[in-house]
Order: sequence, then structure tokens, then C-alpha cells
Amino acid sequence: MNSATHFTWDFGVFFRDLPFLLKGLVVTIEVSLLSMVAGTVLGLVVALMRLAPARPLRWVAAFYVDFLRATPLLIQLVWVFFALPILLGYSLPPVPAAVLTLGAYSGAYLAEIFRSGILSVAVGQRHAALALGMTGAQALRRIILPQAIVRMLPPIASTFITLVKDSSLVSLISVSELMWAAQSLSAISLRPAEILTGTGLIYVAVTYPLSLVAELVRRRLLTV
Amino acid sequence: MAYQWDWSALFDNLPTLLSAIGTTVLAAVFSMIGSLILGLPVALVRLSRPQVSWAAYLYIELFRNLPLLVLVFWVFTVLPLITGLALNPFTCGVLALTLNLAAFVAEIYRAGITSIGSGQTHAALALGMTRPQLYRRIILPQAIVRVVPALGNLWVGLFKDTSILSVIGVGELMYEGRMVATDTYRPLEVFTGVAVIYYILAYPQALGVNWMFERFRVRE
Amino acid sequence: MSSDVSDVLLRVEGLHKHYGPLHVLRGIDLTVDRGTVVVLIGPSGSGKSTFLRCLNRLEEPSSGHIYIDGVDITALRKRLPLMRRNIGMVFQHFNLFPHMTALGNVAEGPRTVLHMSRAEAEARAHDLLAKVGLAEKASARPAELSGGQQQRVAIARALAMQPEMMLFDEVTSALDPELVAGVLAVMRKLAEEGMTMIVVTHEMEFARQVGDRVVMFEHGAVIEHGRPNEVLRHPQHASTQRFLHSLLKEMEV
Repeated sequence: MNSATHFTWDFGVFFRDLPFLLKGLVVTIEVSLLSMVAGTVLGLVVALMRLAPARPLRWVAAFYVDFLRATPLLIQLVWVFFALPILLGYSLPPVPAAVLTLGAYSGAYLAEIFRSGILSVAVGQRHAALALGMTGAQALRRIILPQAIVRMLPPIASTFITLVKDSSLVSLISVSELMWAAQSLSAISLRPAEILTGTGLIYVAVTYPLSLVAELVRRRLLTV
Repeated sequence: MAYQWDWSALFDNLPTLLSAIGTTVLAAVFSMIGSLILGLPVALVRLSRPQVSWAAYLYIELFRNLPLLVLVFWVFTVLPLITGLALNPFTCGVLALTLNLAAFVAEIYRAGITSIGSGQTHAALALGMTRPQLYRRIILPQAIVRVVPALGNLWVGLFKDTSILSVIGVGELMYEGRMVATDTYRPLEVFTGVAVIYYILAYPQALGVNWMFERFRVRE
Repeated sequence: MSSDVSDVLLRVEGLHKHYGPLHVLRGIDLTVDRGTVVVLIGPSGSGKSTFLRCLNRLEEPSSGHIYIDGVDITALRKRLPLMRRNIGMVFQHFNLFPHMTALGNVAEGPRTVLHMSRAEAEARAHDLLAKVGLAEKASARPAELSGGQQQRVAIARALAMQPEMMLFDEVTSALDPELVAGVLAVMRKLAEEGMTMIVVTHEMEFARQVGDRVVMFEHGAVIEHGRPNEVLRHPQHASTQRFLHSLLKEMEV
């Protein structure tokens, strides 16, 4: 070690400010859930587009998935918050901007999950459904999707967990979620170490149980 | 009034942005090397007896579940406070990325090692090999082949994650992009350009990972 | 069994199918009378299964016409699902829906496609499962059934649509030998009841006993056809002789 920095931990400040942090946590969860819903809807639409017979639809969907997965989430957030309003002509409040971006971003990953889930259902199932006289839509709804969903649940679960972690980035576009709350406190407080450490532990306290549940779901589904 | 596009804001500053790519790549390379090294002992501890493997389990779960942004701030703000070390932003960033990535690398190593059938372990031990010999001669050579494609995927994520280092002032592509955007008052053109640059850079990397999956496909 | 009612149910004219450069079906002409059993034989790759799948347009013909009950089905677009209700198909790999019970599988067509009520559909399903000898397996999932049982459920599922014609695509090829007889027995019973059937199979005894006509495929063309006793006992074409000979040798092993 080097110079005499006698650092002593004092979590008193952290516990005193905990309510403020927890309010941020609520926003984190809200943003994550909203984005997940948006991403699921978008992902399903895009997945079906990628499987459509019309080539322009397939191309647009493939480009969307490629672009959003190839660029960092941060540049997408910054672009939606700072650049898009210029194109649109009006400014976007932080939370809608955040949900829009996170929804589109996770939608790209979910689209791939949905697409490979649907493709993983053996082609014979589709043949059998069509041979009975089902339309393509009936076959998808009654036969293919029910079988695909089971296989897709584990990657969908981990997408959500990643989403919760990535939601910390929206603090950088002024969404008052957990990370933003921690940063604000650290800036005015005398004890940033405890606040940041405590915030990290709060995040882990949320995502770790989620990952345990996801692992449990994965194990149960693999043995069925 | 229609928006007046001005792409000179982007193209005049292109040299700055392109040289920032160097910092991006440097940060990613150092972090990748660091986590490849750090991940191995973590994986081996995780695979050893329960009395010690819990420590590796804690490490892995902690750094897999902690958001990278929080870790980056923590290394930048808290680590100097508690250790007295003064670290420059680049080092803090690489350290944070390494700690985070090593947890995923360890899991990949672990999956690679355990995927090698126990029959080979039995055969090697029956021949009289010691455990270190078993690992060195039989397990690790085969495990390496299995993990390379998965590590390729990690790299692609790492490359994008370097953008987070912009928040602590590391001069990589995202940071320089923000600087140029604020200097020129042209966020639309500049940020679009930065996004396109990332997209272009991602292309060869994706091809590389595909090549890895083909080349290192395990044929049982 | 001879049919003196000249009632043509299926007429195929000049059917061609290309897979890129591969010419898989080379101008097939075929007529099938109502109530008859036509057996398609030939080496693998000769186009028999492709031909069968063209009949309900699971494969798209490249050119030619297929008339079912006088209707040119090759031209259908929106009414294609409607047409398929009339044709039952049983697959080599059963293709039962794993997320439904046997009863659910058989009732699925009537419910979703024919819009029958759940009670009606399940009643029909129970009857058909009894008909194929699996009444007690109604609540079993496909994974709990043997191959032969699954295939019989698949037959019941196709029958539930009350089709005019049944297509069988090598339905016993994927079964363990001791389970084959059970499925063939169900098919024989269907034939005796007057179902129009087109069967792709290697089971020559079945072809001889149940078939009204045997059609020999090779390289995407019909090279010989006639009554079973003619084609199977006295094949005219050299290729047919070779093919039957090779089948015999396989059975000797």
C-alpha cells in the first residue's frame, strides 16, 4: 500500500438515503418491464417478418436486427435522446426515449430468439398441420408457437435480466432510475464509496434471484 | 422549415473519430487478454472441491449480475478512495471490463472443460497420469477448441461495451463522438455517423466469429 | 376387388417437379378411381414421396395439372386449405403434435379447421381411436406411445376430417418390424371399407393383398403399372424386375 489513507466504511449515510435509492429502483423496474413488453411485441413482429415470403420484408427485418445488435446500446440511447428530436421536430422526454430505445434494442435480440425458436420446431409439424387443412396462421398459432415457446423461455429470461442491467445506462439520459439516484447522491454526499457499493449490491440483489429463477426454469424445461 | 443537414460536422472531424477507434480497440484487447488470464484460475477454483469453489462462485455471480456501468463508476470513484491508488481513466476502464468479463470467461472455460466426457478422464487416470498431467495433456487442449467460438461472441459484446468507458473520460469512439457533437452542435449528423462507424466495425468481427464457429466446430 | 363404377376421383396430367437443376418428376400421368387402392413402389429417390406431397400441394408442382373430383387443384390459392380437408395424409415420421394428447391430436382438425364444438370433436375422436384400436390411450401423450401406436393415432387424426382420399407416405418405414403389422391391419380395414387410398410403401405383401393397382416409379417417371399380380409376379420392365429382386434379397438377409 502507499500513502496513509485510513479509509473506514460507514454505511450510515447509505441507509439514511436508502429510500431515495429505492425510489430509483422502482423506476428501474418500471422501465425494464415496459421495455420488455415493447421488445416482445416488436420482436415477434420482426421475427415473423424475417420468416415472411416477401423478400423486402425479410430484408428490412434482417437489417433492423443486424444494426441494433451491432451498435452499442449507449450510442442508440444518445441518438434517440439527442438526435431523433431534431429529426422529429419535438423533444422526447427521458422515460419514453429510454423505453423506446431499450424496447427496440431488446426487440432485436428477442426477434432472433423467436425466429430460431420457431424454426427449431420440426418442419414435419407444419406439414401435418397444413395437411389437415389449417391455414399458415392456424398452424403457427395452434401447433408451432406452443412448441416453440417452451424452448424460448430460457433465452427470453436471460434477455430480461440483461435488460435490467442495461437499464442502468438510461441514467445517462436523465431518467431518474437507480443509477441516476446513486450518482446524484454521490455527487452531494461525503461518502460516495458506500453509496456506490450499496447501489451495486442492490442491483445484484435484484438480478441474482432472477438469474436463479431463470436457471431453475431452464433445468425444468430441459428435463420435460 | 426543413432541417438543414450539415454533414461537414461529421466529415471534418472524421480523423478524430477514426483515431479514437484505436483507443476502443486497445481497451478491448487489454480487457480481453486480462479476462482470458483471470478467468482460468477462477474456472479451476470453481471446478475444485466445494470448500473452495464457493469463492469462485461468488466472484462469478457478483460480476455477472452487476451492471457494467456501476462497476466502471465504482472502480473509478471508490477504488482510489479505499486503496489510495491513483489510476488513470483508461486503466480503471480496462480493470472494470476485465473483472466483468472474467466472470463470463470463467463460465465458458468451465463449460468447455466439463464438456469433455469423463471417460477420457478415467482413461487418463487409469494410465497413471496425475491430475496436472491430465489437464495439461488431455483436457485443456480439447477445451480450448470448444471455447474459442464462445469467446469470439464475448469479444463482440466487449467491443461494444468499451463505449461505456466514455462516462469516465476515456477517449474512445463514443467519448470523442460526444465531444465532436457538442463542439459542432450537430448531434444528428455526428451520432448517426458514430453509429454507422460502429456498424461497419462490427461486420468483420461477426464474420470472424462465424469463421470460428465453422473452423472449430466440434465433431464428436 | 374391382370397381365397375368408373368414378375418377384423382386425375394427374403431365406433372413435373424441378428442384433447381434436378428434374424430380418427369411428366407423371395417373388416374385413380374412387374406392380403389393404388400402391406406388420404386427405389428411394424415384420421386414417389414427392409425387404424393404434390397431391395436397405440400410440394408445389412445377407444371402439370391435378384434378380432384374434377377440380383443378393446381390453380387453387386461397381455397387450398379447404381442398386439403378432403385429403388425409399420414407421414413416415408420424408428425403427431407432442403438446397434445392422442385425443387432442385426433380432435384438433375437427376443432380448429372444421370449427366443431369441443364436445363433438372429442366424441368423433374417441370413435376413431376405438376404430384403430387405441381407445384406452386417449389421454396419453405421443411420447408415451410406441411407434406403431403413434402411427395409428396419426391415421385416426387424418380420418377425423372425413376425407375422400387418404395418402400414406411410407408409413411403416420408420417402425420396428414387430409394430408394422398393426398399422397395416388398420390400413387394410380402411381399404375394405372402400376408402380411396394412395400408398407409398415397400411392403410388397400388403401391395399384393390390398392393392388394386401397383405403379412402379423410377427416376421420376412411371415405368410400369397394372394389377398387383401382374406387376409383382410378372414384371415386364427390366428395372421393375431389378427392384423387386433387390427387395427380395433384403428380406432374405
